[in-house]
This record gives sequence, C-alpha cells and structure tokens, in this order.
Amino acid sequence: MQPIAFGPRIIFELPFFDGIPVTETVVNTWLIMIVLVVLSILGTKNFEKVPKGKQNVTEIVVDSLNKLTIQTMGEDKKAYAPYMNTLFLLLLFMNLLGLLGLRPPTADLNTTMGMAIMTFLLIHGSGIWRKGVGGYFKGFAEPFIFMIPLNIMGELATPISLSFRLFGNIVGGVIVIALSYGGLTVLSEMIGLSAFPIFQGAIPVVLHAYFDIFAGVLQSFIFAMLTMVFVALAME
Amino acid sequence: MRKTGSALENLALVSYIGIAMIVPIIAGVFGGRWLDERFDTQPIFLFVLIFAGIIVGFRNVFAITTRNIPPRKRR
Repeated sequence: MQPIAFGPRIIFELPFFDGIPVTETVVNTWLIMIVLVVLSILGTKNFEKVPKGKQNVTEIVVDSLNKLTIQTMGEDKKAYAPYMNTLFLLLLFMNLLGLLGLRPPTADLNTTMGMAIMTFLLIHGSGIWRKGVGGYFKGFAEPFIFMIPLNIMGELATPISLSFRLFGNIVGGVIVIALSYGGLTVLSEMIGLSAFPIFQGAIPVVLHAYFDIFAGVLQSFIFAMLTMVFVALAME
Repeated sequence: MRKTGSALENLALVSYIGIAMIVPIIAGVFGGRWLDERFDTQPIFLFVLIFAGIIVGFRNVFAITTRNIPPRKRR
C-alpha cells in the first residue's frame, strides 16, 4: 500500500528559475475561476424586464448576498457588496470542491493566507480612506499611548486567525476523508469485496456531508461575515 | 436595519473569540523563542512576549465583545 500524502500534489513545473512548481491548489483554483466566470457570463446574458428562468436564480443569489452585506455593514457601505459576494462565492465553491473528489484550494495555507491578507489590507485601507491617515492611526493610541504596540499586535493577529481557522477546518476534513477512504478500502478487501466497494461507497457520505457541506459552507460564510464586520468596525 | 443580520453576525463573531484569544499567545511563544535564540537571552523575551500576547488576546476579545455597546450608549 502506498503512503498517503496530505500535501498538495505538484501537477507540472513552469520552466523559469529552476522550475516553479504548480500545485493542485493552483490548478483547482483555475477550475473554479473558469466555473465562476462562465456562470456569471451565462447568468447575466439577455436580461429582461420580467425575469424568468436563470435570470431569477441570478437575481436571488445577487440580491440575497447584497442584502446580507447591507444588513451587516450598513446602507452607506453597500459599495463593498461586490467584493464580499465574490469572496463568499469563491470560498464556497472552493470548499465544496471536495465533493467532486478534488482537493479544495482552501486546504492550502497559501490560499487562505492570501485571502486573509486581502481582508487585512481592505480593513486598514478602508479605515484610512474614511478617517484619514492621522485620524486612523490615532485610534491605535487609545485608550493609552503605551497600548500602541499591543494594538498593532492585535491587528496583526486578525489575518493569522482568519486564515488558520479556514485552513484548519478544510485540511482537517481532507485528511479525515482521505484516511477513511484508505482504511475502508482495506476493510472491503479484507472481507473479499474488492470488486464491490461497499464500505468506501457508503460510509464517507456522512463525512462529506459534515466536512465539505456543513463546515465548508459555514466557514466560507464566517470568513465573509468577519471580513464585513471588521471593515465596518474599522470605518466606524 | 441591523436586527435581522445580527444573529448570524454574532454567531460569526462568537466563533472568532476563541481563536482571537489563542493566536497572540502562540505568536508570543514562537516570537519569544526566536528572539531568545537570536540574542541568547533565554528566557526573557519568551516571558515578556507571552505576557504581551495574553494582554493582546484579552484586548481582542474585549474589542469583539464590546463593539456594539458604544453606539447604543450614544443614542
């Protein structure tokens, strides 16, 4: 039996600088980008005054996500809705990719850290944009002047906690599901059912339902929600 | 306006409290060990940064849990 590797596989290497490895994470992200771009092009084609069919679906998705952003951040910050909707849909599709047997790109710390750094820049960029550079950085000296290093440390903890919680949840699911497939294959072979894989066909369904659907949807929602809350908080 | 959204919003924030408290402490442990090895001052930086991490952790939790209070008082 082969040892199970949990890291992302290298699909191919780009021929610059002694070969840049392109992993499963990147290739699966491209896949999701293609799906999302095609869906948004198909969904927004031929809009009519009276919606029907796919236009209804598009309107429901966009409307409900816009409403969520407005509810969380306030009416004056609805310009953030497109970014938050994209973030949520991208993370949702990434987390649900495990259902297709592919490795979710969010099971790689590089993806989640990239997203969290974007959130971090958005938080502080919005704060500076709203309050001005001096006014924003004066907020770090509250309530006392010697709190400045502690406040900065606290702000630096935000992207780390955001990225690690998403990464941990998804990679935990990936590992548990991979281990269960491996173990159940051995179990099926032990009772002589290698041609009829009864165990690994049925039991991982529960694990997929929990780790991919429940945890995946919840974590992508929480990531987008926390981004909204922190951006709104920095601008208040 | 914020009524209906606040349940989901608070759920997300509550799930964030635990990790917001532990991350600065762990960062303090690793950062302190790294600085101690660099300047050969075991264990001063370790203790200082763990203590700072604990304060930062509580500051994070405080910031999250009290974020709704000042606007209410102002009204």
